[in-house]
Amino acid sequence: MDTDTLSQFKSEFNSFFMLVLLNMAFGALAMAFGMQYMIMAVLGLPLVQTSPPLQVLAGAISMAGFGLGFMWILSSTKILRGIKGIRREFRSHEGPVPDETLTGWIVRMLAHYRENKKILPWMITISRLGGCCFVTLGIVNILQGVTAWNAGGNWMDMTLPFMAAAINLTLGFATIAISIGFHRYAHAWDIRLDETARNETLLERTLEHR
Amino acid sequence: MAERRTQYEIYWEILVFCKTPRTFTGIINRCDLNSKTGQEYIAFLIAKGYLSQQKDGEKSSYVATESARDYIALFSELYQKLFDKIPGFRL
Repeated sequence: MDTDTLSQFKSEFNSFFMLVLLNMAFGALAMAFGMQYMIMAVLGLPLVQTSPPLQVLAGAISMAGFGLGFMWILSSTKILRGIKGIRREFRSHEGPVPDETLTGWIVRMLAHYRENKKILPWMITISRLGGCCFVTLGIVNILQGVTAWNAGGNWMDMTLPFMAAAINLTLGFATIAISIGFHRYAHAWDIRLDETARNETLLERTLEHR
Repeated sequence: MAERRTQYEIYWEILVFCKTPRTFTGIINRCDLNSKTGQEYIAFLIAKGYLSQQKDGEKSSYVATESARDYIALFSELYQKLFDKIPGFRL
C-alpha cells in the first residue's frame, strides 16, 4: 500500500466531508433566515411602515429563500449519506491499510461521484445563489446603517445594521467559498473519471486476452 | 451503488472477495448484485479462468484462481494512480 496515496485519499475525503457539513450548516441558516423574514413580512412586525405590496414581495422572496435553503439541505444530506459509510470504515480501521481495502474505498468514492455527478452542479449553483443573497443582504445592512448614522438616533439603531452586515457578509463569502470548494472537488473527480474510462481499455485487454 | 460501478470494478470486487471460497449468495450480497447479473459476472469470470467452482456435496462455492492476481494487481495500481497522478482537492 502506498502511504502517500492513502494520506491523499484521507485528506481529500476529510476535506470533502467538512465541505458537505459546512454546506448543510449554511443551508440551515439560509432556511432559518428565510423563515424569519417570511414570518416578519407576513405579520408585518418590524418594518410596519412598509406598504402591503412590499410586505407580500418580501414574504415571497423569503419563501423562495426558505425553499432554496430546504433544497440546499436535502441535496447535502443525499451526498452525506453516500460517504458516511466509507468514513465510518476508514475511521474504524486500525493498523496498516491493505492495498485492496484502499482500492475498495477509491472504487466506492468513484461510484459515489458517478451517482452524485448531477447534483454537484446544482449544489454549486445553490451555494453561489445563497452566497449572493447573503452578500446582498449585507450590503443592504450597510446602507441601512449609513442611513441610520446620518439620521442620528440611539446607539443601538446605528450599530445593529453594521453587526448584521458583518454576519451576512461573512456568511455570504463563506458560502461562495464553499461553492468554489465543490467546483474544485468536481473538477478533480471529473479528471479521475476520464482517466478511469481510459484505463478500461487496458483492463478489458487484460481480462479478455487469456 | 451497483449500477454506478463499471463492469471492471464489479469483476475486481468479486475476485477480491473470492480470495477465499464464497457461496453465490455471499457474492451477490457482498457485491450488491441481483441474481441475474451476479450469474452473468460469475459465468464470465469462470469462462475466462479467473474463478473456479468448487463443489462439496450439494454446496457449491467459488474461488479466485492464480490468474486473477494479475488483474487484481493491475486494477489496484491503476486506481491508486488516480490519486498519485491527478492533483487533488483540498480545503
